[in-house]
Amino acid sequence: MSQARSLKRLESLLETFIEQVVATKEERLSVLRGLNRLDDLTRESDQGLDITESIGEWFAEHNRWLNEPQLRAGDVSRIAPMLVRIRESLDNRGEQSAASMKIRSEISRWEPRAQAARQKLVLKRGSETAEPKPEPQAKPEVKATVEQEPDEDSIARLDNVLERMHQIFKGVAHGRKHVLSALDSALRSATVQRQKEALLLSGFIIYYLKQNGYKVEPYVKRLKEAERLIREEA
Amino acid sequence: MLSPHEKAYCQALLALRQKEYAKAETYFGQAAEHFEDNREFMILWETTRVLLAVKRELAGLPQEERDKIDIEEAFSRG
Repeated sequence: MSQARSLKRLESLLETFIEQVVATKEERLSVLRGLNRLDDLTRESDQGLDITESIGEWFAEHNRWLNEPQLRAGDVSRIAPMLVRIRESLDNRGEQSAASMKIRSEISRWEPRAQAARQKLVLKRGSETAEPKPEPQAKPEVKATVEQEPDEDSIARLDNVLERMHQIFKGVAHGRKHVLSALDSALRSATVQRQKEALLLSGFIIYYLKQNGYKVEPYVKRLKEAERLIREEA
Repeated sequence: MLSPHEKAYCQALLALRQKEYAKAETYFGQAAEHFEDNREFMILWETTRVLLAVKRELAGLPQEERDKIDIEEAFSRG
């Protein structure tokens, strides 16, 4: 067989392999496409663009997920914060049109599903965090820096940041075997992409590890470097 | 929100579905930092790279040789 024919056969073989792998993931790909599209819309909404029509189309195409089993708990816990951000953008712009009211109502249809997913996530994480939680130590520090004036938005803002940190954590922990590898990835995201939530997440993980007796000095150095880069860029 | 790496992996898979292999390879590259330990990711990425290399080799062949293969393929499939 000539080299050319061998190459042609190999090409055909590789294409068939990829085609078949993709075919087995068809259902998952449809979910990923929907998640990716919603992510694009959330970013556009954050930038103040009018997404009324596009998000309407997204709901028209994807609301069937509410009644079908193909969504994983992790998918719902990703969709929910994006919808919350879209609703916040509408609120911030003071949108009161019929279309925006319809979007709010569609978003609220997802809330029970999101709550159920959150409960499932808490149960999953229970066995991982049997060690002492860092929160009790963190509280007095927070109290010391909180201003006395009421600011309910600060709660919502922190809630959003925590949600985003959780998403980043799931990304950096995916496929890893130790939290140190996740921390390494989070620090890389903070340094390379100047991602503030990744920086906060890294700080949290470092504190968590320190509380559990790990040596964290090298990571603290990298955290400081990432903090400096982010501050410079801001 | 999806991380840029997750978004890139997702777009790579969607590009593969559209048979846009060069585009998929670019997206795999963007996602690699966070998925290098994921076996499925690596298999798909490497396969795509090999496929693109094969396509480049084929494209480098003289036109008449490529035509000959196409004719032979057409005959062998009846």
